[in-house]
Amino acid sequence: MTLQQQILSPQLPVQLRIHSEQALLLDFSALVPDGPGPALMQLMQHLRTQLPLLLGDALLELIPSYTSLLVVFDVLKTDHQEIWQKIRAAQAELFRPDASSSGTKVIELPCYYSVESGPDLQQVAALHQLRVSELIELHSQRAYQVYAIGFAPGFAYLGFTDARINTPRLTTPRPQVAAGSVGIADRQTAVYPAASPGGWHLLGNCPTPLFDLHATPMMPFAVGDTVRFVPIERAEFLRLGGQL
Amino acid sequence: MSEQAYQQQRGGLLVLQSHSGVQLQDAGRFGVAGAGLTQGGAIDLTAARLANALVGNHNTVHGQCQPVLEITLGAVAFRAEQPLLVALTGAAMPMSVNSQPVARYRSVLLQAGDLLEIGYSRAGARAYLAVACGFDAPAVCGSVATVLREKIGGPDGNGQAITIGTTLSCEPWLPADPLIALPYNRHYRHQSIRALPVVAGAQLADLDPAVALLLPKRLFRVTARSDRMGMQLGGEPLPVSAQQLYSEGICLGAMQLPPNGLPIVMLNDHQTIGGYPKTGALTRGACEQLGQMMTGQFVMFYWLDVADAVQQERQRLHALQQLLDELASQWQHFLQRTAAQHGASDE
Repeated sequence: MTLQQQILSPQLPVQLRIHSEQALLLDFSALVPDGPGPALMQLMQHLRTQLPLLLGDALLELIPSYTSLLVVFDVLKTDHQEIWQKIRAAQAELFRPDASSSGTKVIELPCYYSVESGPDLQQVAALHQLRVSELIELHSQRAYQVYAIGFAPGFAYLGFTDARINTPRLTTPRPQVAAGSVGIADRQTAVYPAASPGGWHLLGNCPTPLFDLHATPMMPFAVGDTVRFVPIERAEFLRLGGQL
Repeated sequence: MSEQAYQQQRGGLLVLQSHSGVQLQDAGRFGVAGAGLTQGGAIDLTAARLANALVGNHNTVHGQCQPVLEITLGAVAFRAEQPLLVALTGAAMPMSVNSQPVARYRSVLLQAGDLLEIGYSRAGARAYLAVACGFDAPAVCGSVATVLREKIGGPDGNGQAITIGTTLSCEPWLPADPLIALPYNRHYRHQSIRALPVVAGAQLADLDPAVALLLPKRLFRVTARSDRMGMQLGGEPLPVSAQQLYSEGICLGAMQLPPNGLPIVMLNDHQTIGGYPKTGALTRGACEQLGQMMTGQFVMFYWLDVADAVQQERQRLHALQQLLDELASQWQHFLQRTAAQHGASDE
């Protein structure tokens, strides 16, 4: 059965997990035994727009992440049972397969791959016995899903990388990683939206600002969107406001 | 000095002594966890709301509360630059005005030039200082809550704790002291050992069954690595099986079980997603109590059914609302009396 067929089956393939007296988790992991992919992330984005309409001001937070969606609610206004009943009642609308593909975006992020902007570029290439140009190609040819946002404001976990460039984390995290740094760790890649400590291997830098508290929306992407990296040269990087 | 003159020379509370554990907080920041922003807010929100109500800042259990200072462990001092009405609640920190002891859990009128000192806590980790009309600060995503690691919130919006030499801007208080207080039985109550409820859930069913059996039998100690992000507990480790888990959303109170088998309970500045398995979560009320515990204190846990937890939380919040309403009505009487006196003196 495809994901869409499963969603439409009378038995809702979502497990409800109690997380606290004011939080429940919709667990989709049974839907995706081989791990999350684009179809699930698009469904998640659809739920993120629909659940606020369904739950109104009883809803405090929605946190999508990989195979689950955490729902935090006002315990004075609703409870787990009522939310679950509402989700069951709205099942057809919430899990409409055609709706789940609408609204997701493809975002292209420029990336200047170089040793001066990504200090681990050569080391990671050597680790995988690749030329630097091959590493750049393998990293930039993939369309990545935004699987989760967390760790820091606007930090998006993008996956999954080509198996040929899966890379462990640094044994000792860097105390300071420059804003815009593009890193990889395990099967994932990400852009550090702001300077912070970091344990990922760094391949390059994205000059596009990715998080602004005072903008609406604060980030160019949401969980469920697709991100591609577009290699750029040094001059273009500087022209776009990149810092070295 | 006339009211107009006060407005021209508007000051507030000059900070003479402070540290990183002194932060501006409110009820927290909601609706932005999807962007990776934590909720923040007063750890003991009950105490923060009561402090506000004592100085006439109307607030209810449903919504935001006026900005207050969360004072961790104590050791702060201020000078009033104008008449101010303040109140201190929460942890038992000795407070004095011009070296004269004054009571907590009541309104305190400061005159311009008065020295307000708050000493080390004798019991409890966090106290809350409210001022009539609240401290002025720019709201960031609907809240002034300070989150140091996110560089968000606080007096300037950039996530700084309260720093020595700055003046916290607030409204001057011109009427008399309304003398509004809460009786002793409403004060923060110290307990050297606490038993706190945990709502069973999350990955508990997937963990070693011994976890569910052992958690209520163990005594845990609050370690020094605890902060506003989470309380790291020490003691005899619980059995954990190596389990690969996709990171998932984390809620307030979530009890994580990292590979060392020692629980970490997530408090207000918790990260928004994480991959450690969880046994469930402490209720919000239990988080307030745990957050008041100091390093070395002992805590035990007991399982609480989710329906009972919902019930208990609702009862706790209704009781708090009643208390807030009582204080609001005392304030109403005070304001009516003041207005009547002014009316009489005008004639």
